[in-house]
Amino acid sequence: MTGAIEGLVYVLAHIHFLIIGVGAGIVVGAIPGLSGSTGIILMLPFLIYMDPAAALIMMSGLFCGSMFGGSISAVLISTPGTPSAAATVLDGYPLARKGQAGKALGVALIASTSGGIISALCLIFLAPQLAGIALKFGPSEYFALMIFGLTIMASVSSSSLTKGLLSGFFGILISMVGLNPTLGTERFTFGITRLLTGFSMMPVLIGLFAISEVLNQLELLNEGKIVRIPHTDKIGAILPSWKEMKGLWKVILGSSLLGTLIGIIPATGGSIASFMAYNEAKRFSKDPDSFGKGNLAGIAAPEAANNGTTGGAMIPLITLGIPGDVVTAVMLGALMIIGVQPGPLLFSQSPRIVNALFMGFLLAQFLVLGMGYLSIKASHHILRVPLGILYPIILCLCLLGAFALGNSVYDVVLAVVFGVIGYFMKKYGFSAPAVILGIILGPIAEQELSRALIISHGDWTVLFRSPLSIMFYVFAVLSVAYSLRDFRKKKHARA
Amino acid sequence: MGKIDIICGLITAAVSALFFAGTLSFPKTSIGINPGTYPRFIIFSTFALSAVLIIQGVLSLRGKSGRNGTAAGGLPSGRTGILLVLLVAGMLVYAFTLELLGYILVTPFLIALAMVLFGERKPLRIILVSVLTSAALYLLFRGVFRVPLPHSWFW
Repeated sequence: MTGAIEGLVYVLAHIHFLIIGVGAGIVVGAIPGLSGSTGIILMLPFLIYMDPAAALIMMSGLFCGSMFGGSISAVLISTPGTPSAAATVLDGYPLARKGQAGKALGVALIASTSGGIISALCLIFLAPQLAGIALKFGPSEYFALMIFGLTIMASVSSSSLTKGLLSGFFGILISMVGLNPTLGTERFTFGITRLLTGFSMMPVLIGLFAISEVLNQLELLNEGKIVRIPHTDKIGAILPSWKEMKGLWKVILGSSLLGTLIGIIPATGGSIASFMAYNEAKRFSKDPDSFGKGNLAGIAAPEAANNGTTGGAMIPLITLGIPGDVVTAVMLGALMIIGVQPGPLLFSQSPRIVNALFMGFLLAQFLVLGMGYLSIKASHHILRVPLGILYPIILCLCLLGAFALGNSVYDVVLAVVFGVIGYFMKKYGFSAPAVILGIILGPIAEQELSRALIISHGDWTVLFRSPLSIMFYVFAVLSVAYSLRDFRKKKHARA
Repeated sequence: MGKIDIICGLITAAVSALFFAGTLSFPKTSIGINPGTYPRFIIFSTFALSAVLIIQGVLSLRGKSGRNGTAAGGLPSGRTGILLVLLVAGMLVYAFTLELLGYILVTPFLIALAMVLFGERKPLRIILVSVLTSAALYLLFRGVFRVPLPHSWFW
C-alpha cells in the first residue's frame, strides 16, 4: 500500500509527462502510418534525458493513447491508425457514413478506457506474483524463456513466416557484432574499430522504425495512396445514450478481460485480440446480422479488447523482460537505452519505477478518457495535419535523436543506413519488429546459455532438466505452430 | 515478387557466409560454451532460411506455389525512386556536413529539402517552418538537454 501511495505521489508530481505521453499517443495513433512504436522512437531523444520512472510512465501513456488514437482514423476515414484498430473499421466507418461518427468514437473512447482500466488492474495485481515466480529462474530457465520470446519473431511478421524468422535471425546476427559477452574477445568486426562496440540500439531503432516510415510515406504520398479526411464530414454528438451504454457493458467487460488475457500471451497483441473480441461479440449478439453495418457492439468489443492488451502486454515485459507485442518490443529497446533492465529483479531493485509504472498506467486511462474526448472534437484537425510539414520535422527529430545519445555523426549515418534497410524490409514483406526482437533477446539467450553451461561444466542436458524449461520449450513450439497455421490460413484466404 | 525473394535470399545467404568466415578465427575454450557454437547455430539457421526463401522465390517464378504470401513491389522507380534517392542523399549529406558546417546552418536546408520532396510548394511556409523548427529543436537540445550540437569553425 505504501508503494502504491509513493507511486501515486511520483506520478502526480510528474503528471505533465503522462499528459504529453497520452496526447502524443492519441495523435500518432490517429495519423495513419504512425503508430505507438514509432511514437516511442520519436520520443527517445527526450526520454534519454529523463528520470527512468518518468520516461516509463510517458511511454505507457503513449502506448495507451495510441491504442485509442487508432480508432479515430478507423472511424472517420476507414483507415486504421494502428493495426489494432483494424476491426474497429468494420462497424465504425459504416456508422460514420450514417452521420454518427461522434457516437462511434464516443463508444470507442468509453470501451477503450474500460479495457485500459481492467488491464491496468490486472497489471497491478498479477505482475508482482509473476515476478516472484520468475525470481526462482536459473540460467537454463531463462534461456528457455528467451527461446520462447524469440518465437515471437514468427508472429510479428504479417506477410511470410520465412521472412519473419529471417528478419529475427538477421537481428541476432547484428547483435553479435562487437565483443563476445563471456570472453570479451572481438568478433565480426572485420577489422573495423568502430564495430568493437557493436551497433548502438538508438540509431538502429530510429532507422528501422522512424526513418523507414518517412521514406515509406514519401512513396505513398507520391503515388497518391494516402487517404485524407473530406472537409465536409461532421462528427455529430459524441456521447452515446445511457440506454445504449447499458446494452454494451457486458460486451465491454468480456472483451476487456479477453484482451488482457491475450495481451499477457507473448506473440499475440492488439490486432488478434480485437478481431477475436469482435467475433465473440457477434457470436453472442441477438442481432449478428447488424454487425458490419454500424453496430455499436462491433466498435466497443475491439476497442475494449485492444486497450485490454496494453496492460496485459506490459506484464511479461516488466516481469520477464520479454515483450508481448510490437510496441512493447520497441519499449523494451527504449528501456534498455535509458538504463532500465526489465525483469523480476526490477521489482526488488527499483520498486520506485515499478510503483510509478503501475499508478501511471492506471491514471493514463483516465487521461485517455479526458484527452480522448477533446481529440474527438479536434479529430478533423489531427487528420488534416499537413504531411509536407509533419514528416520533415519527424525526419529532423530522428537524425537529431540518433546524434544526441553518443554525440556522434557515425550514429546519424547508421540511422540513415538502417532507415533504408527498414524501408526495403517493409516493402518486401520482412519484419522490422522481428529484427528488434533478435537484437534484444538474442544476446540475452547467448549469455544465459553460456552461464548455464559454465555452471553445469558443459553438460547440455542442463537445458532440459527443469520442468519450467520444458514448459517454455513447449510454449515455443506451440507459438511457432500457431504462427505457421495462421500464415497458412492467410495464404489460403489470399489464394 | 519471386525475383525479389531470390535476391533477398542471396543477400542474406552472402551475409551469413561472411559471418561464418568470421567465426573461423574464434579462440577455443574449455569453459562453458565454445565461442563459435552459438554464432554458428544462428548463422546456419540464417543460411537455411535464406535457402528456403530462394526456393520459395524460384517456385513462385515458375508459378508452382501460386502467390508467395509477400507484399507487393519491385524497386521504386520513376519519380518516386528519384524522390527517395534525393531524400536519402540529403540525409547523408546532412550527416557528413553536420560537423563541418554546424547544426544551425545545415538543418534548415534538410527540412526545406524534405518539405519540397513531400510536395510543399509555398516558399514562405518552407522558410518559416525550416528555420523555426531548427531553432526550436536547437533550443530544446542545446538549452534544455545540454546536447553539444555541432558548431562550425566560423559559428
